[in-house]
Amino acid sequence: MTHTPVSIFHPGLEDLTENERAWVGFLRLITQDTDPAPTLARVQALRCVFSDPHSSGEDKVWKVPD
Amino acid sequence: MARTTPYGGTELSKFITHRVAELKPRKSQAEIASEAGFINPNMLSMIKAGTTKLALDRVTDLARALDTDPARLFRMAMLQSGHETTRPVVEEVFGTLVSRNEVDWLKAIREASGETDPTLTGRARSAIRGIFGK
Repeated sequence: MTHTPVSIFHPGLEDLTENERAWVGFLRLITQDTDPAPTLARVQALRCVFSDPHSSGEDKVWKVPD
Repeated sequence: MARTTPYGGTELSKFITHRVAELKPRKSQAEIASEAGFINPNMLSMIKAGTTKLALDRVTDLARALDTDPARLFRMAMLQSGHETTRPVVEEVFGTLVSRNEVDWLKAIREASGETDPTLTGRARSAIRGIFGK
């Protein structure tokens, strides 16, 4: 069986920034380190964070569409 | 008297127990052990029970046999007794350990933010909590 070795550190990415480490750390905390995939619905919800930068979004109800 | 299960209850032993059970309809524990290259077929049982820890040099083969992410398994292996202090050193030297799913999250964040290296604001935390129903 052939196997192409890949880096397990940051495959396909250059090294992470401090901000990106914070994002990953928070994702692990919230998901209890279950390593969930970014599904289309989740990514669409994530995009909303950056869609209206003038809103704090603190009181917004974020929900992944069914 | 020495503990017989020094690695029992670790994140890794619980994860492997769960993952072997999940894969049971597709392949047996003996098949997984064989695919992972364990000479001793009881090694998986010992890791599940916590009588032995997973050697770091077995991580990638076992990850493949369990159809799971090697970075995630490597992090759990390092957290087992004796490796707790290894992780920060490894990450300082080689970079942050991230799973393939985490890479995909980071790519999505980079794309959605227009490569602006966004900080993790309260708004972002609220969104992530909402996404996962927390």
